[in-house]
Amino acid sequence: MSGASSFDDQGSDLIDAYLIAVENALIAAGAPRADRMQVLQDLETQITEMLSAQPLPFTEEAIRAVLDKLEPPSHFATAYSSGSKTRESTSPTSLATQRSFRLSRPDWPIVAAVSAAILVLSSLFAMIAAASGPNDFWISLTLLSYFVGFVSTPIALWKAYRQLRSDPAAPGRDLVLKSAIVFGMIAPILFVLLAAEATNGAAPILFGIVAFFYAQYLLLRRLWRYLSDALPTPSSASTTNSASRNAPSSAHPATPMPAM
Amino acid sequence: MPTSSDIDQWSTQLRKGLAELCVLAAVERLGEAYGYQLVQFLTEHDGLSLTESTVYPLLARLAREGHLNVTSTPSPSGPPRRYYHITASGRRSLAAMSQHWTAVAASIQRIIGPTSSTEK
Repeated sequence: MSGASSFDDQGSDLIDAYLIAVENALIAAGAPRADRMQVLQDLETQITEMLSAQPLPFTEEAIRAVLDKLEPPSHFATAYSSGSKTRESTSPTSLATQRSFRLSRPDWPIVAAVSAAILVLSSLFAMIAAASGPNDFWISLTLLSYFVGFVSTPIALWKAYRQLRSDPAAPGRDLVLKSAIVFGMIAPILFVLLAAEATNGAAPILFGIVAFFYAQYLLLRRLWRYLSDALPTPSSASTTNSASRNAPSSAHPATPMPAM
Repeated sequence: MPTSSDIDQWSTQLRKGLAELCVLAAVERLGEAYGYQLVQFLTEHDGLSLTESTVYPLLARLAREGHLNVTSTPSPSGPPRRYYHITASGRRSLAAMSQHWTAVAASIQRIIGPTSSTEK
């Protein structure tokens, strides 16, 4: 923190941890970098002024007391997202521009949902094709709908993801999540079935072997992460306490702070 | 019957809808103010409860959109202070929003009447 001549390292760490948490919240809300810098600078000024009312030198308790009076970092993200939403709904000067912009830009969450629905239809067509025996019409319809759904859904999901990231207030989050789940469930199953049909059953064996090794990889990775978190390292003890800004002021650190 | 939590939620949404008008009006009234100064000014007014988490992002966006100008002034202690001034564009927006608010407030007051139904 700039201009902090009366802070010790721990106090500076507390303030830095808070400002970093605010910045992360703003990043998650999609705030532009220029906005984030301005917010952090204004916050830093406020913290400095609030601390100037405290007696010198600034103790850790005094700094915590000041930081506890500030809003939680997550509120900055909420305020930023809802502020953007409010601005779009109430500004008399930008509504027309936004309306024309939205007309020319497809609603990708809806496109993703429609593509995923096509995949569901393709599985229905596949069942009808299997039940009705050799029938070129249903087989062609199955292949066509599967191809369209298999190709267009991930593209639409990616576009929807970028759209929602750039505009957190835009609707369609649930649609994107559900479409992703539908694609993840149906597309691989249909792919394996079609591959089995094309290779006289050889493909599923190969997929099974690959899936086995992938499951083993996931298990090992999970085990590695668990052990890495559970087994402490010497360097982690000194950084854990200074980074725990979001804990309530009455909470005590899990490990005692090292003497400086 | 609405609970106090329902009223709080409604009140929060109402304040957030008026935040932009309040911030622009505060900057216009103070002439020149830095962020914390604005937060303190707005906090003094009952019912607004506009905190730094609302005001600072709003100031940044208004500056980005050209409704506010920002100048940095060195501070005797701590980081430079960022002073906000309203621009011509900000004044036009403020005038439009103020006019609209006056009309809405007058209409609501006519609907509510001189006394609320609960007081009758």
